[in-house]
Amino acid sequence: MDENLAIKAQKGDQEALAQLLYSNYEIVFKYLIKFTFNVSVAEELVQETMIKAIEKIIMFNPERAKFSTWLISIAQNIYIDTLRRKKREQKYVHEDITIDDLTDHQYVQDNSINSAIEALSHLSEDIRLPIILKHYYGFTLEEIAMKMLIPLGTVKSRIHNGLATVRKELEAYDRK
Amino acid sequence: MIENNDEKTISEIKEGLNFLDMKFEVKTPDINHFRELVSRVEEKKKVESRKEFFVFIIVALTILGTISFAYYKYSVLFLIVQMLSVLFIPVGIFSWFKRQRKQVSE
Repeated sequence: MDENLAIKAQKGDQEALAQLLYSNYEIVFKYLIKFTFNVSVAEELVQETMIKAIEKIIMFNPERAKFSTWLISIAQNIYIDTLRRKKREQKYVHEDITIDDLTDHQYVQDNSINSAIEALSHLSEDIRLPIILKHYYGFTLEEIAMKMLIPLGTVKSRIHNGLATVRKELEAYDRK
Repeated sequence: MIENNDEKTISEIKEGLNFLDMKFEVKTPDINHFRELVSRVEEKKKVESRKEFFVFIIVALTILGTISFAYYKYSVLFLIVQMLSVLFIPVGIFSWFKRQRKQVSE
């Protein structure tokens, strides 16, 4: 279905492209919210992803990947670029992005947000990213190092330290 | 090797993220938002490609004009330019190709 629309879009059918982006918005958003833990940042990144997809639609190859997979890889690259840019410009202040940002938002109606999510949200983005890529999406350490353009050792230590931090928080929640 | 504590933490992280995936309600914008976005980006692409084409024509005409002028007025200079082109064009193509390959692998 998506692949047929993508072929039409590659031939210049704007309606097909709009339909394709519309039907994949949720997938991309849910992917990004897991990394950003911030609704407005995720929305901005989805918008950037959509623009990039429109610009590069001709490069999509339906034989190599599903359209949603292609979109997610664009989203991931944009997110990693954003992290790197923030770091380079040294404008990055570690905002304490807590889950409040999500729970306060009208989208989330359930207050029983898991304590693991809260513990994850307290991590900085460059530590959270490799943990989720490794343990939720199943990327190898080498793949993560290549994606983030950081040494393998750094990936390992970020995951190790990040997990230790989450574990400590979870233990503190359990004791409460 | 992953310790038992880590395994527990990882499984709790997975559960939490699954929960977020299921419970989080995404407000997808109206289809018209995507129609407008597509037409806006396509329009921008057209403007940019027209601009690139215009720059290409200007550069091509300038080079062609200069070479023709040199050919009629300064034949020696024309030959020098030809020799430099023979040397530098392959080098330019090679370095462009190398840069592209680096970008793709990144």
